[in-house]
Amino acid sequence: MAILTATHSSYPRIGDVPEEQVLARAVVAWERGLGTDDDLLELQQELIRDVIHEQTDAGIHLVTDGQVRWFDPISHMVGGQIFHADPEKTHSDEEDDEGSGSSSGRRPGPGLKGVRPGRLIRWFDTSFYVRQAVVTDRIEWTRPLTVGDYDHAVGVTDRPVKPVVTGPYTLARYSDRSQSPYASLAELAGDYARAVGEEVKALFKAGARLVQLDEPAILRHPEDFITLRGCLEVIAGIKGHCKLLLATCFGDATPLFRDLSTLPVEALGLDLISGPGLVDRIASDGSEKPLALGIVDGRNTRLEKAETLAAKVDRMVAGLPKGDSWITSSCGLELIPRDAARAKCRLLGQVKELLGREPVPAAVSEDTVPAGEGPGPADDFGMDDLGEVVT
Amino acid sequence: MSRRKLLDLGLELPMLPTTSVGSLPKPESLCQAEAARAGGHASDDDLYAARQSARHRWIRMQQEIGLDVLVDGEQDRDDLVTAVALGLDGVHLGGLVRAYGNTYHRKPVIDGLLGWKEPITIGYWRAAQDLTEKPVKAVLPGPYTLVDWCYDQHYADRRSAVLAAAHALRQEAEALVEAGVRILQIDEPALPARPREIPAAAEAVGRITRDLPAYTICHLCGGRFAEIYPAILEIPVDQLSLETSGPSSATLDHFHRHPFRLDLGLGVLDVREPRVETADEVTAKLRDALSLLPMDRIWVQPDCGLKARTVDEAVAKLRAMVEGVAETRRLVAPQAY
Repeated sequence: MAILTATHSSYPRIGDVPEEQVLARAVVAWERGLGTDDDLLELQQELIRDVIHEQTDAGIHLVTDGQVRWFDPISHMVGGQIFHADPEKTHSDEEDDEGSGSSSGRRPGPGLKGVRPGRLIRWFDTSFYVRQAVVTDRIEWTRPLTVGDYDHAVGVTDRPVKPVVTGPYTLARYSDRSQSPYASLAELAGDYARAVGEEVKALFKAGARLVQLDEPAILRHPEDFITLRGCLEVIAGIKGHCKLLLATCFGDATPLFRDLSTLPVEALGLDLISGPGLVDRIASDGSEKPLALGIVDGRNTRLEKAETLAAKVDRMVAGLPKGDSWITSSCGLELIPRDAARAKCRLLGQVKELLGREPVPAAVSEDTVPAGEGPGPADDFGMDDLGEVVT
Repeated sequence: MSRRKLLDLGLELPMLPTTSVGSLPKPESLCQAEAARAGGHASDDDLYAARQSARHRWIRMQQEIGLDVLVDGEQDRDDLVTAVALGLDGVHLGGLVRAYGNTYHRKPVIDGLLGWKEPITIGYWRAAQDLTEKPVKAVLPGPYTLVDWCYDQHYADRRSAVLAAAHALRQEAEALVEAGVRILQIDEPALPARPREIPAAAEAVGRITRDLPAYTICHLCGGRFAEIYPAILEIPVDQLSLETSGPSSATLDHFHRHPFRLDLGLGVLDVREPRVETADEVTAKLRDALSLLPMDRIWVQPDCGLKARTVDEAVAKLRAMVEGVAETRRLVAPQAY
């Protein structure tokens, strides 16, 4: 069993020095028609490279692309009014007429059918705002949403890259379905689940072996746990052999910990800042699934002490299953300034050193990749030790 | 009781006083001046002049529209919290962080004991009040929201930080009252997202409002009303200012089960939508409210600040609101109006 460092999801796309504000200025120019789509995409991809290097320089083992091309966790899945030069064209099976043509101004991105971004609303209890999804028709996945960025990220690092997708229950909770054919939240979540399942399947086809599903909304609405389970069962039937890490945050998962452990996913991501009681729970009860332990506060710039965090992790380690688990931030790091995000990543590296455990990479063996689906990059998550998915 | 308090404070307001919540859109001239100053192409004096001009314009427009209680429109600042937080001891400005899309801001950082050192907002209020005979309300961030919108690198827990912020804001409130403020609004938009912390926030707001010789208002927005009501009735203020439009149109339904016992700032304009409401829509909403509360306990306003609207949209919405209120006054008390 190894404890590895991981980035949770988002990473700041701007800093306080001019060199770290290039993309922000470029987006302003692009929205005014002063730059081409290709120019914008190139800058975005340079930023993905930069933020990945910041993560690895800080000691992060399992990195993300920082979601730096995402308008927000809802809009990116939904598409529409977002600054979005389109890297997915090489993966689509058909021409996207909406994506071609104009090289100036905002234009629709490659989102789901049947839904568009609407008004700005607060993202949980953070000071970040997202565009609520307005559902007008049945939800349909037509093309990959994140594969292009995943491909690019894999190409700029030799570390494993973890794609992150907003989960179907959270998408449904952040949707206005008043103009839609959906009679219930559960029905809408089910169609979002089908779409997310296709996205995960596409990521697996591109080589991803572990995908994170962000489902913070379930902590606000534990009464909908059955709906979440239904969504994950739908995804399990579509995604193929890709492993899933279900991440929750912005709330205390302690009351739900046992139930979360029964879901058809291979790993769980937990926010130990919002749910400090989880430390005792994991220490006493252990976990059947590998965990991404959100021990570093992703919402505050206060820098914790590595020794204190290492002691917390040590208490939990004995209860973790074989295979890799991770230490990470409690949520995405984009809620704090970039300097603070770098410091938090370095802190994770320091905690890892104090734990003194060496990663035990496990390469994907030929017989774990079904014939016909192509080889992927070496999977050193150790996820193959998990065995069968619990259903 | 609060009607009596208003009279004791020297405020003779009509029934259903109309007002705005706080922010008003910045005119293009001010936006250009701010951009020029940020780019180094204009001086501080240029920016000050542009802000003065915007303030003058909005006071004039509010009077012309016929609002009863005016606001300064926050023409001097970009958000509710930052200027006030930075005016306190123990706070510095942090790095850039994304608010949404491609919009970024800097959040304050609490790095030491919070303390009040000198008046922070009197200048904003006085600059507006000097331009009009009508009462101008002063607006402060609430202690819970102030702490929530800062990074906290000092206090051991949120409660400690919030109570410290309340102590500092109490001193600001006293300074405002001494300067002549008679209506003080405390904004707590962060609170509805954490219903379980309402009692602690109510205690903190109480430290600002207790025995303060002013008519006090607490503005709340966002969140799910069912999760915060009736707990918010424990916030010790004269009036709760609430959203009741758009997605919040079912707010008043909750008053059937738990009677609303404070004054109500009734939000009749959906500030997130550019569509201009009609006077009839405002009248209809007032009719619903009047079935639950007496007229002397209702104030009428937009759901929240109007800074996301254009100047034309904001003016049109406010006009419709005032027209709807005037019609309601005529219907309910024809002999008086």
